[in-house]
Amino acid sequence: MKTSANIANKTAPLIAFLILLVIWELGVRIYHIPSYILASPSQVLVTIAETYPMLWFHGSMTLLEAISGFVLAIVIAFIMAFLLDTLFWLNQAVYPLLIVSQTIPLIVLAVLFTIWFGFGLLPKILVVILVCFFPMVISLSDGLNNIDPDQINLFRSMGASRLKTFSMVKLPAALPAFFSGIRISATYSIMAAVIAEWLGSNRGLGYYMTLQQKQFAIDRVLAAVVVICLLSLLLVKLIDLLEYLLVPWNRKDSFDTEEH
Amino acid sequence: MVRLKVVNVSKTLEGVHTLDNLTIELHDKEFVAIVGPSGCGKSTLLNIIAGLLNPDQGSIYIDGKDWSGLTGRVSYMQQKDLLLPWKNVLDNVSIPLVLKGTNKKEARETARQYLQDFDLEGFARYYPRQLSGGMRQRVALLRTYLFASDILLLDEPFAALDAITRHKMQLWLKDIRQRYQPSILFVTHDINEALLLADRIYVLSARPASIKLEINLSTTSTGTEKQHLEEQILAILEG
Repeated sequence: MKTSANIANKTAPLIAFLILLVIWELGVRIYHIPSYILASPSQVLVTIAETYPMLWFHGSMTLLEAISGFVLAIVIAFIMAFLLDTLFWLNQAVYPLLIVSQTIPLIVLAVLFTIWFGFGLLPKILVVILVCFFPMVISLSDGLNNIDPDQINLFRSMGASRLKTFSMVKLPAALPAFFSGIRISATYSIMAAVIAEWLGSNRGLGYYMTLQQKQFAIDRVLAAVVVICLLSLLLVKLIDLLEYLLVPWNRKDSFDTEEH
Repeated sequence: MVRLKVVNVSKTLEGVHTLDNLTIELHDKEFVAIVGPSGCGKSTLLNIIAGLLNPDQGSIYIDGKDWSGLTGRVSYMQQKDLLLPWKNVLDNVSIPLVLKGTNKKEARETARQYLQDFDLEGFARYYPRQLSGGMRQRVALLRTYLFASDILLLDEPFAALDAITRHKMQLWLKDIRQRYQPSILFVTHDINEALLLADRIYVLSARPASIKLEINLSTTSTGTEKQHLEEQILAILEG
């Protein structure tokens, strides 16, 4: 039963996706929609095949920005969450500010960064960091806060230092929560890089899309969208793999398969 | 010889007067049970003895030295097993040794020698979620024992187990106690458990907890006497 339900879980979205593509394809063909308005899926596929050197040229830049920003955001989020956990007064002072910082429109920041730091790599990485950092700090902080106080007391009763308690109990216990934040950030990271490129750059998928959109090359815009989706999914899968390796005790399937 | 002495301890927690002038003694190799109604402050008392809380009044003496408000002397097992889900059995029980500065490999070797006596032989590499409730408590008890083997504080260690497992664990604890002869302070609300295991019983009143009765069981052994005691304790707890 369990396996068949699993297969259904995985095939259902795939079938839904294929049906959507068929409707789209038929719609474009039957109503003769001009390609400067909407390209059909098959045409987008052909475009990807034809322009993939260009997609790679721009996509690799986007990927570089996204991953650099993402990794830096993980490091910053980790340090920040550790400090918020250790220093109570900092938590009181900064946590509300973190929430407020998320209400600042990203687009405005991207424009400002371009004005301040030019068209290079730096402003894009900064945008990615700002977008990715927040879900990770919040999830790790919450994970560190939600630990059973009795567990902490046990370690205190054994004379463990705060640092030892953090590394042996709090951090491992908070890892699953941290990873859910990291996964959310991974999906945002590519998009954030694209938005930053869109507003001012000379390389990257965002830049490429602004160019193609001005020429009404909708098929190329959509081809770039497909690449963005694929890169985002790739990052998420990478994070899933990392979680599988680093948080083995939290694997959903391992309970049934391990012998008793 | 008195190992542990609680002298005139009082405590008010969040405005609630919890402990009222308690004096308790634990002798060498003795098994003392503390029985009291739920929520009477038994856990608070153990938290104070373990050094996690400061008493408002009174002191804790261990081997004649004042340990009030100081952690790291006695080992303390709480009702929950509090095993770390990401560590296997062997690594979980090695924690106290590692915290004391033993290197990981040596700690594992030391801990491994006890697995058989604690009925955990062959389970060293199992993770907590793969174990039954009784086994988890035995792992927790071994971890407790490895921290400080001479004085153990046990806070309702079997309360969460089903009746059959609980009874098995009680007999097992009796056996372990004979073999290792630690001094044990055992908190429970199960009168029969106390009568089965303890040399001496303190019966506490409802909050604020004070000692209502002290029973020495080393002289009582017959079934009718225990029956009588059980009724006596029950009357106090209900009264």
